[in-house]
Amino acid sequence: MESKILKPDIVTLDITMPVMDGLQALKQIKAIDKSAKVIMISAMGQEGIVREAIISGATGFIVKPFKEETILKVFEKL
Amino acid sequence: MNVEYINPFIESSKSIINQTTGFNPTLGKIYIKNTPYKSNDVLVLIGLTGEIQGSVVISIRNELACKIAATMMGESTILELGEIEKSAISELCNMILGNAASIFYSKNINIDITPPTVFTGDNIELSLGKSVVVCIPLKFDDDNSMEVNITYIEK
Repeated sequence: MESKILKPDIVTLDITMPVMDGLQALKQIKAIDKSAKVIMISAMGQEGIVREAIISGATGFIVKPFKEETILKVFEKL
Repeated sequence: MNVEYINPFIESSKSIINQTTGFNPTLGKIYIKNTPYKSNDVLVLIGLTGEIQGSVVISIRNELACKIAATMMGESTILELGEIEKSAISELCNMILGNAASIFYSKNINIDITPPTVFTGDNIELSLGKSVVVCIPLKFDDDNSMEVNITYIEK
């Protein structure tokens, strides 16, 4: 997986994706690196999805469409 | 046609289009569309699963799709939809359906959506068997329009 090779400082992940959804990708990234900072960015903002993302180790969750200020606030907290 | 299942798509479409582009589409007269039907528009197909199963086909006139893509990408004018522009349109439709899913969730109806698929070309024919297609027209300035075509089976 590219995350393992590139070791990014921050990962932003959508949830609705082909092949593997964002929550599965999040779990795989966290399995490789528990300290990985992963921000979920998704059009799906249901409480259940947000809760599952946070339980799975997401550092933040942003619902689309978002404003620039929202991104800055979430990233400043990292 | 269950109005409870239609209103979230109307609310979401108008809200997301306004938030992402600043445009304020008005709602046209909702009607049942016969299938198969043909289209020369840009089509974005998104599947629905969960408590509502079916699909949504958002059709956008090419000229309007170019305007929307230009606004989303911060460009002044786009004359033709390339892959990046189609990606912007795809993302708009993803946000519309994602937001609709959130509205359904607030009404205790759990649905999920599939990744969008974009179709472009002339004379595209859509066949949906014996399914009923509810068409929500959204009207923009300059006689431009978009349609949210919903096909569903209540589980």
